[in-house]
Amino acid sequence: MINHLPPGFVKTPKLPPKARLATWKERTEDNLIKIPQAAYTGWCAVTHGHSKDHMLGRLDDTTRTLGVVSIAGLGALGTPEPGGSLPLWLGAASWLGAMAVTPKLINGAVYMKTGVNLNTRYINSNGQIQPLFLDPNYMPLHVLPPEKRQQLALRLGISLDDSNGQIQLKNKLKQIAVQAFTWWMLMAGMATPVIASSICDRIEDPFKSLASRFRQWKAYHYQVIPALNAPHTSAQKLTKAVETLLDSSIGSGTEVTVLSRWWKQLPEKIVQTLHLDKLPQKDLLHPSPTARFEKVVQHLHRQLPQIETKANLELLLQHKQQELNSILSPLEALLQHPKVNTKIPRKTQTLLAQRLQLTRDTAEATLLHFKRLLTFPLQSLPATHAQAKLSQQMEKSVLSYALQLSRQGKISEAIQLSGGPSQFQKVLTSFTENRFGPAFQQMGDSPKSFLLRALNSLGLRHRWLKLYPGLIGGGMIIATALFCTVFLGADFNTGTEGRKSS
Amino acid sequence: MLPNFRHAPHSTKSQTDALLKNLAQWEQWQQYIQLQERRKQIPEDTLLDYTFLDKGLHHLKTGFITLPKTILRGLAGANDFTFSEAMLVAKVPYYLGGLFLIASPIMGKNLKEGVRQGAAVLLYLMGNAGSHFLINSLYRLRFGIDLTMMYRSQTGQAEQVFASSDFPRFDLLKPRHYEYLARKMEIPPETADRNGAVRSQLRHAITTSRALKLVVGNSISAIGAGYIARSDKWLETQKAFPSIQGILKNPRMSLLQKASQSISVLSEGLRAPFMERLAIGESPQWKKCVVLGGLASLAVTSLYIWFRGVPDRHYVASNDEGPLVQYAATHPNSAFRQVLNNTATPNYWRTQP
Repeated sequence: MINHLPPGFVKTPKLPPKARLATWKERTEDNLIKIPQAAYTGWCAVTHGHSKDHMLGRLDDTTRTLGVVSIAGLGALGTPEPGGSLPLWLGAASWLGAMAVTPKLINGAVYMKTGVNLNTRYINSNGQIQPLFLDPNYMPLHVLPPEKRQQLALRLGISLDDSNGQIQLKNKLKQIAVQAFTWWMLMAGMATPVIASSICDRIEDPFKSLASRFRQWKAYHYQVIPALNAPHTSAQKLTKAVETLLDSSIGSGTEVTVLSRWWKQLPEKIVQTLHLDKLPQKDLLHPSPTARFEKVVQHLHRQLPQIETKANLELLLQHKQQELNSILSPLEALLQHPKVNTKIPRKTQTLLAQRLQLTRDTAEATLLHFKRLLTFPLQSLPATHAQAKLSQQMEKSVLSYALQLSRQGKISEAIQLSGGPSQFQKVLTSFTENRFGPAFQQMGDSPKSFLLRALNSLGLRHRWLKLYPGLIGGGMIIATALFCTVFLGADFNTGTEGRKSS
Repeated sequence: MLPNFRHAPHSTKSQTDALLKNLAQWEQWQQYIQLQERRKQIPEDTLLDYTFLDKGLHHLKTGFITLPKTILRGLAGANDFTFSEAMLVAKVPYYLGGLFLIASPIMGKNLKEGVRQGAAVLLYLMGNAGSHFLINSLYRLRFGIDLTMMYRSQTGQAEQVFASSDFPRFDLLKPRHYEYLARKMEIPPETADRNGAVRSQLRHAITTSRALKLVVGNSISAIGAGYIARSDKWLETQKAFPSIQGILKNPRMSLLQKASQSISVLSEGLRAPFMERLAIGESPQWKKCVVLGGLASLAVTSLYIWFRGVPDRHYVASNDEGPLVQYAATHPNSAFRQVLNNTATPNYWRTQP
């Protein structure tokens, strides 16, 4: 019936087109606020049956993001230890980051070659922000200022004075946009994992340190301080607060504590100081551990006599000792706090103190093993003999434990241990671990196992760096550079022949 | 009508002018005829009535012939690169990235993780295809809407009829399609503009199905694949291969027996990881939530399509005058009334801009 209406009965205002380039602020706002909003509106429109294609596009983007986040969230449900889900969240974030960065990198290469910025976005008459070169069949180039168009034409070798100059420019831009899009799609499958894993490799350590500090801060400020400051605190509450603080600072079973960061950084720093990271990769990843250890000992035999290395190692060990004190001393002082001393039951207090003592002893025993390397008389011995002695020195020493016991005044236990390493091992293995477990722990890690483990992971990381970001990432960069220099914007015979045959 | 050249040499100026005018008209007429003939040669878009087997073959051809050609055309920057071709190329990262995700742990000599990644990628692709198949089948069974209907375009590409909700190719539908769809959608035959009602419902079905495929199908298959691939039992599936080899080498068994035996051994091997992840009797709460939630959302999606796949509408009968007409009828001197009663004067039309 509406067709029978007289013309002009319905007056439609004809407004001038308002399309223009989007500013940086508008683009950011669009990314962060409007796209999720549009996805929500799109979903509502879908359920009410009047959605449009662009709404579904927005919904697609948001669903992909939500999918990545929900996979990380479901993975986090399966990790009961505190902070165990942090790598998952970091992985999800860097995956999304890599997905966003990949086209930007390719577009950067295109920009360097041709001067065309494929990231350009514009606001259309409806106020939606859209990429200018997304659909090459519809590129409203009039939103670009004339000077910019002139500049592009100059760069691409097209004269706009010709009658079909604008069409030539449009065709060239279309070709470049299609080429860049296809290259992006070919690269995306490989670039996203490579870039995401590289980002993860960079951010994992600092984020874990931050998270561990945050956990400790949270336990201290929200549990311990209120419990100490409150006029009437139950013993149970106070005990729980102190235990939470201990768990968040020195608890086992998670990598997100201040102490586990300390343990993580110790072998890395030692390997750096002793220049063990300069060993060739085939030595680091030798299948036999004995051969690996021999290489390490040979290297140390060369390195240790140097004064600079020795000084650096000493400094490092001192520094680590200070760090350990800064972690443990406040906790030990907290146990001496009058309120804690009086309120918490004596038995619990003893247990907490033992736990702290055990932690300190273990760490200090490991430091002690390395300290003994400083005073090792290498020059006075012949080379092969010195190497044999050095490798002996780096094994787990019973003597150090005996010394420690005697220092603590447990002379009889120390005498019992002095029968020799073989007998001690026999005794330890014959007893249950409940009794001698703490002893094992308290003896610390021997330099051998400590360094070998660190070197193994270092070798694996080196191999990964060489293969993944190095070989594959570098290959992709070179291929992109080659593609941009040789093929981008070149003239091809592109008719419909390729398509006709299908 | 040929021009007459008899008086050409003796013609006056006006006669020459008239002749030239005729000649120009003649050329225009010839051009018009040529254009019409050329238009007849241009192929039209034609509907493809593909069977299930044809569609499978079409997918294979798309994957192994059309896609590489399209990629080459894209790398050359073809000027007639269409949006549907771009959508085809946009599927490449899923396959290439999946292969790369499987290859990465194997390159790092971590076969265990490689097997699990492979299971995850395969399950994701299969789950995706399965959920799309489920949604399409439900629409076809309930409302007779074949969402995978294809047409051959003028340029020779096979494209989806219902790919877009803004520009669906309703022009390609035949009357028999409309009749069948209206019958399946239970639109009464006396409805005014029955085909229009069908089109409106089709638009709704296109958007809803696409959104459900995106939101439910993709995310559930991704999460489910990740969940099931996390099992360590995938490593034990390779134990089935030696026993299958033994079955195949057995001279006493017939070919049919060999096939059935090896299939049963393989399915037994593949059942273990599924059972390990899906048997949730004594597993923690979150596992129950994941498994039951995933299955429940699939069930809810199916029910939603079955009962609300196309919305209930108030269909207006053809003899029923709409509210606008009824409103106009109350105002005898309105333009509506004049138009309806054919009393609109020429003077009235002239006054309009």
